[in-house]
Amino acid sequence: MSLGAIINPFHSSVVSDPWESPETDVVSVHQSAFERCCEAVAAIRARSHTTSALVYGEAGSGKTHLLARLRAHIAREAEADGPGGMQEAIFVSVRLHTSARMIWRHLRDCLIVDLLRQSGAGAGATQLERLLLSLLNRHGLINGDDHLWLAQRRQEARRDNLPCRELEELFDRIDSAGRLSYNLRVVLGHLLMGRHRGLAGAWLRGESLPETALQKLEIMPEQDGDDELEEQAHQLVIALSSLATAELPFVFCFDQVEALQLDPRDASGLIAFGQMISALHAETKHTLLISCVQAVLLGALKQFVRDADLDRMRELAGVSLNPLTWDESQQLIKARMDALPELRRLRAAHPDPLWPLREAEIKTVFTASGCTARRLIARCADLFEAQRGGESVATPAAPVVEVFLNQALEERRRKALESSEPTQTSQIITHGLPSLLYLTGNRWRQQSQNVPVGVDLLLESPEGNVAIGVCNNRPGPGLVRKLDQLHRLAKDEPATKMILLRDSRLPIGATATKTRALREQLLQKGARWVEPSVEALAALDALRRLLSDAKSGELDNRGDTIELKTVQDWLTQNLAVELKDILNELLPGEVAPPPEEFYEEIAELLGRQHVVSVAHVAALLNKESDEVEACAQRHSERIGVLGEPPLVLFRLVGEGLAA
Amino acid sequence: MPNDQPLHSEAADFVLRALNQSAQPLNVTKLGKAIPKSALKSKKDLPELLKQLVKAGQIRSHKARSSVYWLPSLEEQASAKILEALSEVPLKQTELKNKLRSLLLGWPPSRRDEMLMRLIKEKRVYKLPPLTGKAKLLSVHAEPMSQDYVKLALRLVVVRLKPLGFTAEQVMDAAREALKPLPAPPVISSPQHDDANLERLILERMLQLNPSAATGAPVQLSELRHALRSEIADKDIFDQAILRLAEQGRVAAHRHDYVGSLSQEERDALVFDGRGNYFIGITLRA
Repeated sequence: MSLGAIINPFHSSVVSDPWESPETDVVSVHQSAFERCCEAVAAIRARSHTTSALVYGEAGSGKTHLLARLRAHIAREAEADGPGGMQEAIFVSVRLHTSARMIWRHLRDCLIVDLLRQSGAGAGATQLERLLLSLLNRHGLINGDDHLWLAQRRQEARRDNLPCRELEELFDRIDSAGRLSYNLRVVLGHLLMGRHRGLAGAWLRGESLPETALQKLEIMPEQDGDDELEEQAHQLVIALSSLATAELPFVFCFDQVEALQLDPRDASGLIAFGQMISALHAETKHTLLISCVQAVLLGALKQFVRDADLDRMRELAGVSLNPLTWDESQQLIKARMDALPELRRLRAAHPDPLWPLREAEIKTVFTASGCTARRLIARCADLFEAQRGGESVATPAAPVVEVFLNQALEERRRKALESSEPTQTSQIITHGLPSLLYLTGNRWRQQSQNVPVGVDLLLESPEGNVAIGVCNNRPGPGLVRKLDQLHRLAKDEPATKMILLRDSRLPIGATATKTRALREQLLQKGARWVEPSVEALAALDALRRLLSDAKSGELDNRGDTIELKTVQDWLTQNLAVELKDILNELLPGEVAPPPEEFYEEIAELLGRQHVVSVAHVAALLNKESDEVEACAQRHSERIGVLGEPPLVLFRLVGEGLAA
Repeated sequence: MPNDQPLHSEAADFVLRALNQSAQPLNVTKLGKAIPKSALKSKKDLPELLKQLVKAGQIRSHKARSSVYWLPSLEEQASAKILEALSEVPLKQTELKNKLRSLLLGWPPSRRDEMLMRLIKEKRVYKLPPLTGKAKLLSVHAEPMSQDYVKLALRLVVVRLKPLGFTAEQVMDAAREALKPLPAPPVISSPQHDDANLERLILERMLQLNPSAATGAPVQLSELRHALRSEIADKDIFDQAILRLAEQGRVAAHRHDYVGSLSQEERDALVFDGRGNYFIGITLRA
């Protein structure tokens, strides 16, 4: 067999998600850092307190690979220990592309996504199921095999719709501090019994559920004001983390800490992160907090994060992932190539241990200090490719950055459209909008201090202050309270321009009279009502994710990390039309049309029924058919129409959503 | 007028004697007990007597709900105690203040602060860069002393590792082991250092700036450059020394990934290798 028939062993570069299993893992690479992390895991198993480690490294140094290796190691250890022994830790990966105001909500979201992720020895079991079964077992509430018990209980639960009495008994025993609220206990019970999984998961993630859903889950409604939501998220994270034990500890891995900073002078995100680490440190047990940062961020951490918080962040260890030495690099190169049996056989006939690569050519990407794993692998990929073609290259072809960025942005936009949910809108707006405004000339500066109550973003513009309130709550007391707070602000500070943002998929129906009245009062005081489209939100989400990846050095174009400034410049020159629309709606001077209540009523109806005849809409809303048709035509970007003349209306969804 | 009243000379002697014998300031009640009834017509005359002694400069006072009095010489003794408190190791101001509560008994806090400020003004106490955090350290030495920082670092490590079950002895043993390969600090006599001395100096200062560097924590090169500004003023000499250490495999230098967004001044604080690579931090290689 010739080289030409063998796949390139350097084709995949580095691990980009700690949940991935590392393809090739050379134990001696970053061994010291890995051992420190293992010591940290041992420490939280041995003692009940929480501890933390701070991992530094340049882009592509292998921070995520280290986390993946640690996760795999913990799993292997648990497997080797067997039933009744040490168990696989609950692993939570948190990429911090969020804003200071929503940091707990973001952590809650990541925690729930990972708790509901299938992992571990139990076939098909989620991390949450493993956790609850382990606790039930530890307290002697399960007799025999966990999984058989669970299958039997689930069958009974489906038949009789009864709560799981063992779980209730468990919570009574372990929750002397009263952290597990009634709602949380009920929802955890549903999830363990396999009932209402979708709704229960949505509630855990903090989604605002309608009353019918809450009734189905048999739980009580909770307050949904902004401050309450953040505090609820905090409490829920602490409550779930309180379930950690020495046998089954929690490991939180925080990545992309850099994305918390809008610009190098922005302190609010890092301060909030420091406070969150300290809170987790103080309020949890048997939990390890690993924060991964680029060495570049060290200065900002020292400058902005409180000393006590920074000390908590690196309590057990500050660990560096150094560039690979030549020895380490050779081991990695050989391990990659020898992982392919055909290539290993071919290589055995050659005296040069690096064949078909050449040392001198590889070393061109080395600095005095060595080389990151990402650059090394990308270089080897190019050299191997050239050798397969029978030629040697001194320099790999220069990558086209614009093409790479275009593809990267489009990929993120597509994913954002596919997973688009109204519950993400606040996160997208509060994290993405300041970045968008920063790109467009830096004329608007975000203020993080003295932000009035009810305001999500306070921006300082040359024309004066602009307050943005994301009014995404479900119509009810929470939304009324928010609008009331904004109304008071409009009265007290008439010079502040006010923009009210709401997801276009959340129409305010005719029954929400108080909400509509307050909105009207705000509009009369000069506030603007802006409803970004699903496409605009997806474009904004893609923009913030691309910038977050650039800030944390994860934009890897064949071994070259694309600089943040390059990305910012490119985005400025290639701003999506949807984002320009958002800017136009926000910029002072533009006249925003007021929201049309009749359209909102049709949208609300379509939200429930999806496809409705024009005649039926007219009858239900007490209007003439031609009025319905005209309204649908005015809002053709959101309402689909079938027939000529229009006979049926349907809910129009974005391209990604429909896919 | 009170000022015109004659001084109770005998009573004044008793006051001065009592203050002379006391290691701390005394309040009116205690001073009253030190004066025999025969020496003072009425106890009510004591405040006026004290006022006159203060005015005459023989004693000093701090007026508060319960005023206290002392001899001027006691202030020098108190200052000596402050210097003594700092003689072992530099302290942060809050740490020193906590210590002075027990060392300077009877002194009002504001007076203790004043004495400390005066010592700083008189350049008997100096402010030095902190080991951790932002608050400066107070020291009796004008220049940072490496041994002081090492002591502080070890104390910090002992405190941090105590909750994990490590004894002070275990920590000290580990520290001795970790520091074994490091050479003795060089004696710097002139700015003309040879390469080996420069490199030793850099490694030593790394540990002073961040004792955790011994276990792999990074040190910012801008901080290191600043800390060595009096010894290595030339940017190129510093940069070359760092690159030599990296080539020798004694330190790992970490590249800055987006220098494009930095100002020239910010770039100058980094280490440049002349091949397009800027380095922001270094760690000791195991």
